[in-house]
Amino acid sequence: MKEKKVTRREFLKKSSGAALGLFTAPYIIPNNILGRNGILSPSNKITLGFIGTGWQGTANLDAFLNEDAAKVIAVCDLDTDHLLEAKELVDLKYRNNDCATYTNFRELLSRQDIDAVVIGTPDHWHAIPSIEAAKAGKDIFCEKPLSHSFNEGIEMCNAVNRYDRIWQTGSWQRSIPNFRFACEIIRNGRIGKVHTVEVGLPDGHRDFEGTFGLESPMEPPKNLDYNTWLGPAPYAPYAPARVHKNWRWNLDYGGGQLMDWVGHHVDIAHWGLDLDHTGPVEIDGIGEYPKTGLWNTATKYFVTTKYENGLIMKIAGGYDEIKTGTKWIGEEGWVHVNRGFLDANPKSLLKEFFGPNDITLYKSPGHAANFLECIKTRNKTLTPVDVAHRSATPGHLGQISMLLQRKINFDPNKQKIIGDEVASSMLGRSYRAPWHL
Amino acid sequence: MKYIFKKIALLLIILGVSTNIISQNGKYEERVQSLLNKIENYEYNQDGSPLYDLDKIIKNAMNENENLDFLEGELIKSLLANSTYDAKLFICRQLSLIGTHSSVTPLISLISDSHYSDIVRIALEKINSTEVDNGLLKVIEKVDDEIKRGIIATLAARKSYSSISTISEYVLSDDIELATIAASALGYIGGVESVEKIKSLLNKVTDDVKKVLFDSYLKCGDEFLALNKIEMANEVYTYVLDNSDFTSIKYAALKGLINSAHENRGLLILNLIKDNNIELAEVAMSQIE
Repeated sequence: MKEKKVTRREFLKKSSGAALGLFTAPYIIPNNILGRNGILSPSNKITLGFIGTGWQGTANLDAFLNEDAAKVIAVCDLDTDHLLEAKELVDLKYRNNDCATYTNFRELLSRQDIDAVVIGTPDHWHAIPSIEAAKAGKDIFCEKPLSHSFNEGIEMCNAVNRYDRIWQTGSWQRSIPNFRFACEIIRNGRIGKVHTVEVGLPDGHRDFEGTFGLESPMEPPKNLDYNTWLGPAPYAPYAPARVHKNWRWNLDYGGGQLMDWVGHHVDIAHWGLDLDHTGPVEIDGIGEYPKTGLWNTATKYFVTTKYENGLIMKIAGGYDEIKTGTKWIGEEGWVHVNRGFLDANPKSLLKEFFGPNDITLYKSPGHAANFLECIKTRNKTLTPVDVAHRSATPGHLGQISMLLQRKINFDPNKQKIIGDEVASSMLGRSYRAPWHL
Repeated sequence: MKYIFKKIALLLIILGVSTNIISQNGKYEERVQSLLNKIENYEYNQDGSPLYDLDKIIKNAMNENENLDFLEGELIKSLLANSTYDAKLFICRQLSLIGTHSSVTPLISLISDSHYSDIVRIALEKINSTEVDNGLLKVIEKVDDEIKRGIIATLAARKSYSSISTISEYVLSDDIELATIAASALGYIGGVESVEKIKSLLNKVTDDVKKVLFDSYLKCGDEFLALNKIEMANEVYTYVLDNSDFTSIKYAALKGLINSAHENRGLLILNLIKDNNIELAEVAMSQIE
């Protein structure tokens, strides 16, 4: 999946041959193939459209409204309450009434004056708008986890790379200094060879919307286009506990705590170990699932993954021995990082200084700012699409292993499950008509 | 005499064990049937524990590789019985795991019913049997357009090469949504036949569908490139570059061409830079690390 690019050495070597008249190109390239790439709006700002303006969508909206380099010009949501709140927020910031509203993301994507989109929809609604946005020539910021299914992730990577779009994932921990510092300690071998990583995630189901138990079927509220909200997922009657914020506790729309957090702490684990372009070779998960009810994702889980170099990554929720955050354990010590927390053994690691010959990692000016900067420079962001897919992969595979109650083997180069037809078939999901990728 | 006693004792043991196995099997079958009887009447928001219990039994059977034929048969019976939508949904999810060619006809018998067409595809999409593709191709003409769209998406997900010809016909449909799904499906299926079909269709469709066809064409090119079929990939990208009027498509084709040019990439880029188009030069330079 890693893009093949021409190295400067290759380029210069071949170019000198061309200068001697050894080569004539058979290709005729028409003018104006770039569209808006690199061409900013008359206001010299990057114009943004938001797709999904609920909980996380609003948090992202706040972040981008505080960026001078950006201008939000359109918002889209299936819930008109969310939509109007988002418009109000934008118009209040710009002191006008200009922010356009849409309930159909395709209408927003068809606007030629929008440079990039910020997608904050539920997980089962990441792939379709992302791929369509890439085709429409938009750069994309999308929430984590990258995709609802592994195969969607592959298709998202393909589309974004095919159309050369700038992509940032909402794995914002990479933009926070203490996470980067922790990763630099590991990358520079300060704890020796790392043999184990413990990734502690939350357990259970959190009632984020106060809809716990509201599972009785009822008419959807008038402000919500419920059928489109279901989108590619199988038809199911409306119930408040199914939708806003708590959708993540049902496997048709999210992946529970495991998938909700894999794009944060596993993402950091990979970053520290330079595993952004590979994945585990063995995955063995156990999960406890509720016996009944709408919220059917695992409430307690333990996924053990093994990488090609023998590294073991344990991803767990609900096990006291695995503390929340990311903990790398090496032959000469350990480092444990979490939000607002950094600890190490030996403690001297916490005052580590990196010299000019040490590895320093990508420093972001802020997650939103990094995205906007990369739109201008066309450089890769801190969390590009392929990296996000690799961060989510242990979660996807762990989920399959837990559901099948068996270990699975994976080829990280071919990105295929080995020798298990049923597990392989679970890498993708069937879509309800008329939705398709 | 001693020998005869020994033989009798052995026979009795064998008989006892066999009876025990038969009785255990009998209990197993009864348990499954009893759960399915409950599940047939299951509706959303009722006690889901029978579903949970049967799911456990099926997962165990999969991991032990036993009783699968029996379980599949029982699931099919309940699928075809007067079971609820939620029961059928559960059964289709289970058949997506253990379904074989035996499930294909029963599942397809429900596909023309708009209540069930989406959920039976959950199973059909995953069953490893050419009978699925054949069965879907047999019914596709007889179902309404909404169901056709779903069937085409399923054939695409299955990378069903045998369906390329039929799907191509729907690219010409007046129903724009149907035509779009069909055009997109050809890209997901990929291969030489898809490429040929796409090429033959490009001048027969509206601009909206044409854009999807070009995207599918690029997908085929990318697949060739991934399979190291460089010349074929190159041919696809060059054709798209020369024939598409869509900016983003041309841009993607150029990128593909640069990626597929391998040793000549540097030369190709240099010649692109020689072109006076600044935007074009920017695209070319963006490919140099």
